[in-house]
Amino acid sequence: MYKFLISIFFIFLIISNPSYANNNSFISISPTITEIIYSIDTQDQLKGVTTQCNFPEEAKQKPIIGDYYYINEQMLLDIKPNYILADDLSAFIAKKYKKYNIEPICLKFTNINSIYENILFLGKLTNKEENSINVVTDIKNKVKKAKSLNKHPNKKVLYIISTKPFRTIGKNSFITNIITESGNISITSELNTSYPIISLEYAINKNPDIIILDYHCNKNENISKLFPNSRIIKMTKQQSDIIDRPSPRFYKSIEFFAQLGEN
Amino acid sequence: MTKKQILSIILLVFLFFICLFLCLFYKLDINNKELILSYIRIPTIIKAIISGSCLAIAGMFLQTISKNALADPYLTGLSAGAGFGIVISILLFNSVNYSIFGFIGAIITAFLVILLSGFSKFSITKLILIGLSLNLFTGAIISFLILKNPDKSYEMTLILTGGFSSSEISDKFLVILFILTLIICSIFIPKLNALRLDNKLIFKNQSAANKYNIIFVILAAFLTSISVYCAGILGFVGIICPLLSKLIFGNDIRLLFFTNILLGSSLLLFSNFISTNIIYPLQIPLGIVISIVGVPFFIFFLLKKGGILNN
Repeated sequence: MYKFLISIFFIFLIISNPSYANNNSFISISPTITEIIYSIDTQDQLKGVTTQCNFPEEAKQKPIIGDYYYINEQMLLDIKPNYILADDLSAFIAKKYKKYNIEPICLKFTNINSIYENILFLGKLTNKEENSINVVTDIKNKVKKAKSLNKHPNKKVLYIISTKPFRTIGKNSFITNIITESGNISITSELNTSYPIISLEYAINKNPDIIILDYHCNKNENISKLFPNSRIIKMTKQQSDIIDRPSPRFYKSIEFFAQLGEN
Repeated sequence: MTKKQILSIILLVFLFFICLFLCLFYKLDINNKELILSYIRIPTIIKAIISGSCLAIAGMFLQTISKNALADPYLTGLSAGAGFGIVISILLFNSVNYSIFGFIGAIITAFLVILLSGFSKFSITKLILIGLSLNLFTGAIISFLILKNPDKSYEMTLILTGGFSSSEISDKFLVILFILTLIICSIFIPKLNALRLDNKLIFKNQSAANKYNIIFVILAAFLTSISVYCAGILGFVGIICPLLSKLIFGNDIRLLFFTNILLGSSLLLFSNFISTNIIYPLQIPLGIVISIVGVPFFIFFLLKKGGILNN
């Protein structure tokens, strides 16, 4: 019993330690947010990242405190950040550490505007407001330029996340927003969800012009047989990372989709 | 056979053909008819029939020899073995044909469990406990691999729930394998009728009974592996179909062998129809639909005719 009481006492000491509250230090458990942090030049306050945070290269040098689903609590208490920054996917993990007085900040990335809003918010939080405004202005200019690259608009695009089961993007997915912004049409944009598993027959009947296969998804023979009139493009890991993440590099995704009509 | 049994079989055959018809022709787009039939619907139907039959028969074998209504085809640690094979294939080979890895994983696990149970000192209890231990052990490794690979965790979890999209295999090969296994099973069926009775009364000694027990465990493992090959890991079918057959048609294994094929196939065909059409174009994972469709029927029959299970 006394061992248990001693453990409780030490945990209490750690939690109530005044040095715990360091000014503006945070960890990021979202690769997207890590990218934003670097883009607004506030990485000195970033004290830890996850195994998925692979951009920019320097992010890999930061202490790795876990991944989407698991954080090493001991490391977290050693670092003593003020905030855990998380996105929709990792929000449930971040909320667990409120008990140690580490404030979870969960950002939602639902569309392009939400990216701008989140960059400005992080600028404010880290006292880099001016940087964040400059970054947003720069991205907006790049987006305008990227959109103008589409010389053959309104191509019907089918974006496949996985073939088994057949999973694609729906109306609420950020990628659908990107495809629309690029001047093309996502054939699954009417599905009122984010990443649905759908019937293959539905996709066949929609006759897509272009099929994009995510990096993780294998280019198997059946897809070419089932969609004989469609152009099939398999993404590289780098392209997939850019498209999957609503990061400041998202204008590159618009460039990618805008140039799909080119041969 | 009684009049009631004949009528029930006719109804079951009718139900099977309705399910078959729905899966083949419901809302079939005329413009892409050939493409959809040859690449999607017919292969799915073949897999549903083979998978449903295999699970139902394997469940019947294991429930009979263990004299336990709760025995299911994954008793010998097959699900975890298959799951482990599938997870490894996705992680190491980014494999499209992960069903073949599932098949191999299931077969290896089943034979490992049978070997560990010992041929001379074989007992069903030992088999169940070793299967359970291997299930837990492999299950823990699968959970660890899923957690350590968050990029692919969602995909892996979905695949492990089972479904007909999981395999890209030659239908001819599958049909031949299935028919051959059925022929071998039907040769041993009369012996299963004897095994459901008290072994001491039927066999000279326990080792004679054990010989047949081992044969049926191997057959069940092979049937379940074929099902894993077709549709991944589908729970519940292997428990519900043999029990439901027993509730409706009695205890004669020769008749149950036939009705289990029909019932297992119909359940999977109907579940597949629901999973693809109820919120079209979205799909519900097959494993979830099977439980939602199967459980109410099962409870209904259990409440009505549950007394038969005591025999």
